[in-house]
Amino acid sequence: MTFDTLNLMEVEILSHKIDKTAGFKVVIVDSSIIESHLTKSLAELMTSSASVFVKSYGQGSLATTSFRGASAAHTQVLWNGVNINSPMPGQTDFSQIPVYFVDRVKLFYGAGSISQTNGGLGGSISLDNEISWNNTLDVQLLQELASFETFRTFATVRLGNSRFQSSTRVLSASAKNDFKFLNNAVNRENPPIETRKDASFNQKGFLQEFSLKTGNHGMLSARLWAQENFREIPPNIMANAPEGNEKLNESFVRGLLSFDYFKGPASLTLQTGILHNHLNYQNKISLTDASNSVVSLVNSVKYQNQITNNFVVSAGANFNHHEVNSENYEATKFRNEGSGYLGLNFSFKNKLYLSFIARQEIIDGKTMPFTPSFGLNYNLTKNDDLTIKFNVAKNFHTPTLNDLYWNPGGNENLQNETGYSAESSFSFKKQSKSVKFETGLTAFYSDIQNWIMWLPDSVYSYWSPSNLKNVISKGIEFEVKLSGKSGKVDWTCAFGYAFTSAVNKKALSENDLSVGKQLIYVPRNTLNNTLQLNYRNFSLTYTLNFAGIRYTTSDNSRYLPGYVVDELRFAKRLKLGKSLFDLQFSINNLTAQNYQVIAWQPMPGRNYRFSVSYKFGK
Amino acid sequence: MNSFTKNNTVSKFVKLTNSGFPGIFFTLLCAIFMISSCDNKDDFGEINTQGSKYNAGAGVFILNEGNFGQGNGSLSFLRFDSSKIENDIFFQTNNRPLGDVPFSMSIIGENAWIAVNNSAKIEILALKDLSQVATIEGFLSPRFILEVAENKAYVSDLYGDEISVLDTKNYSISGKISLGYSSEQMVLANNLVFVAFWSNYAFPAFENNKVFIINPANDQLTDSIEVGKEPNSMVVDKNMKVWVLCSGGFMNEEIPTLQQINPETLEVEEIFAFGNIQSSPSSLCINGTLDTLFFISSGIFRMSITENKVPEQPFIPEQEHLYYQIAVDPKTSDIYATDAIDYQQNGLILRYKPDGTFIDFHHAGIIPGQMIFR
Repeated sequence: MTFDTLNLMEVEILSHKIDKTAGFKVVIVDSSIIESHLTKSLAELMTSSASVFVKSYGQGSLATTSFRGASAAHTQVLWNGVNINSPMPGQTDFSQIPVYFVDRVKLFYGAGSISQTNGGLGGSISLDNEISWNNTLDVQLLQELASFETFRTFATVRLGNSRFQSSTRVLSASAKNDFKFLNNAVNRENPPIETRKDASFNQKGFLQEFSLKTGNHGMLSARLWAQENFREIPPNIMANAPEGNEKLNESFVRGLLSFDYFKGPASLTLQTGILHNHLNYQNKISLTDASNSVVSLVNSVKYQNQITNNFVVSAGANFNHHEVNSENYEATKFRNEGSGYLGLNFSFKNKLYLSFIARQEIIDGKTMPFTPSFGLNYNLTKNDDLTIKFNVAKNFHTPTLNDLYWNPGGNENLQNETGYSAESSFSFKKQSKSVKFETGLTAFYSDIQNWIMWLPDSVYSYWSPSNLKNVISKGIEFEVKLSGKSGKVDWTCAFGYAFTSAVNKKALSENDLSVGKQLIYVPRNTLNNTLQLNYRNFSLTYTLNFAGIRYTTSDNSRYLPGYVVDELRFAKRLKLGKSLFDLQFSINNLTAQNYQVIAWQPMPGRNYRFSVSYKFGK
Repeated sequence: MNSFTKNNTVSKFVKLTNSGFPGIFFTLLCAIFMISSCDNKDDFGEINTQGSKYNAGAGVFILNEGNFGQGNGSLSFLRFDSSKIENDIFFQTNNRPLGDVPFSMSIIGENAWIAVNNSAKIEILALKDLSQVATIEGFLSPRFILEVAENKAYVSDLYGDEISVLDTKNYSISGKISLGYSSEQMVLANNLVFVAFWSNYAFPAFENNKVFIINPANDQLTDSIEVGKEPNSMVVDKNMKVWVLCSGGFMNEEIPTLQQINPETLEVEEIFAFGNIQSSPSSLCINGTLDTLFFISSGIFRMSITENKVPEQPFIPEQEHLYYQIAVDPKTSDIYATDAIDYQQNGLILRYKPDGTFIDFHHAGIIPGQMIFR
């Protein structure tokens, strides 16, 4: 994790040891990217990745992700192996996850997520914390000042020895977030400049980790993540509500206890945890003050054994119990989930890798669909320069608790959404003396049936979900990266492009014009581009993200134009004895584009961030 | 840094370009191309591809509510002479969207008065070209506008506990009538204003089963009448009787009823109960001769004001449609119904002859709601 070597969004490179996700697309966000986004939210980190679209209502406001045209609830998010999607809406708000609390981010595209969990019809994201055993004392203080009265303070203390490690991280952030924007709801051609109101937020977080080696083969670790998020929910720019009308207060505590046992080629992991989440929503005008809380107990066991040089077997089981107390449900609701999986991985002559992963889940006593998946990697050349991949899978997503029990409207007769998918890719890399070239092209196809949609009920006047759509999503993802060293300058240039066609195939009635049309808020074209130069302890990064038009109606009669957002970042490292100073200055939305990710929700113009990090290590 | 002489820099640069540095130029080119293709002055707001110009004439206005909070409501006009629909006509004239949830419209004089619910405003437009005459603010959640006397109109409010009194000559709020409850539809009969207390969402301490009586001469709340739960729509018939349709509640808590009030005695004279607690009737309206009632209960129902029970079978069955609102042309008695399809696309206006035969359909805007004949 040195500052000088920079590998941007790198496709997990196959080593000659057996790859357990052979055939599937797994992307590890490079640690240097995480380091340069430390003060941001996961939503902002994900925005810099093509082919995952982040639907954001603005800084600090709700942000969800869409992989390959699937919905927000089709992205599963795991923290150290535990699913942290709220079982109520079945999704995660990425604006509330600080990158500072995460050490490693892995993206599992499409069926690649079956190796982690069921339900990721779009994909899954793993957020992991890592331990460094050679640390004795490491202290970091990080302060950021940014536009719109945004202040963020972070601190870390890591101490320990080769047998015991403790890591403590805290954060405190607040923003007035009163940026200027052009109100095009007042006048389309000459929009007046207005100031965003009621968009403030603040956040406090704490993450404690303890790790202890037990004997020669075991490791015990305990983690506690507590956080409090408060935010105002600003109305769209044509709504007119009393000041401070809507507020959301969220607090959670996540505790995890893990025991890992390694012996020779075998490993066993036992994990148990408790997650508590409390959410309060207030709306002055409608006198709403609604609270809900979720308690989840999570337990898992994982076993892996490399039986021969060419064969790895892995197996695991999960048992989770959720209890939801919500003013929006008629009564306390429970969900019990049990699942087991088996993975078999083979390699033949370091050329062909096969993986079979199958999962079977039982939810509330009901047997869910069996989800087998198969993937293969084939190295066409000796030194892995040219690799082809292929996978095919079945997956499902079970209705969320809101879908089932929301009062009124919840529909207990909903069926699972089921997905069938296939994917193929090739990757190529070439290294000359001074330049490294890597490229990859992936094509995917997925058919999601029984897609859940909320509509007004004909018997009752309220909205209710049903299994109404059939969505076919297909597309390509292309990445190319060039990097090299010229004199004292290290340079990297990365380019990513994704084309996503996500189309509804099923009509509600004869005149339903959504058939054959692109899903709303799924851009067909997304593109990102990063250029980075490092010279000694100085680095300069330019990133550019583009999202093409997003339709806002299911008949595609309305759309939002495409937008480009770019950022220029300077970073400088200073070493003074055992102290390390990192200075970072960035200009976001450098070219001051006016854009809206969501219709009538403005985004800030050019804005600035400045941060200083002080590190002391022994 | 000292070793970096000028010559060195140049030769290094040459070296760079020779050694794969073109990637950087590629990036820069990409950036320049993309930024230049996105002009700052370009339209960055939601674009509706289905808009057309408004031409005044005889026809029906359709208020498309749009999704709450998404600002995609609009105004449409279906012309009688050409049977052509003109969509998003407010935007075409005023170069801005109408607002968040345009909910109801009243024609007062030569102007259209539109209550835009979640924008908490009333837009007043000249009927001749839909140009803006005035905009009135100062409501919480305006719902319906009723002209009650010369130069005077009332505005009901879903979350507010007052009725706003408008001076329709000066386009301003001239006063408030304290009600203590939410207010919804209003009708004028026997020189009294009947105000339905439809939703108790923001007033959970009260039963939403009342109709309030206001005297528009002195703006005084004079009386209240208990009706069924959730009175959602009202009409006045040719005998000057007030009909109130009560859905029975959001959660279908009680048997829905259609009730008839005598505006002289302020007594409920008739109560017609529906056969099924799940009927969820809505959108009560009356024909041009004020003798036949229509409402939605899955399908479209028709009932003469002299009948003594609610019909059991719909006059126009639901079939594949999910009717949202209906209206009856006061001149021809043709029946107009809206269907919002998936509530995320341009919905339908369906027309039927007075005998129920289907005439035609048109695509209006998102969630077509109230229809106003001109």
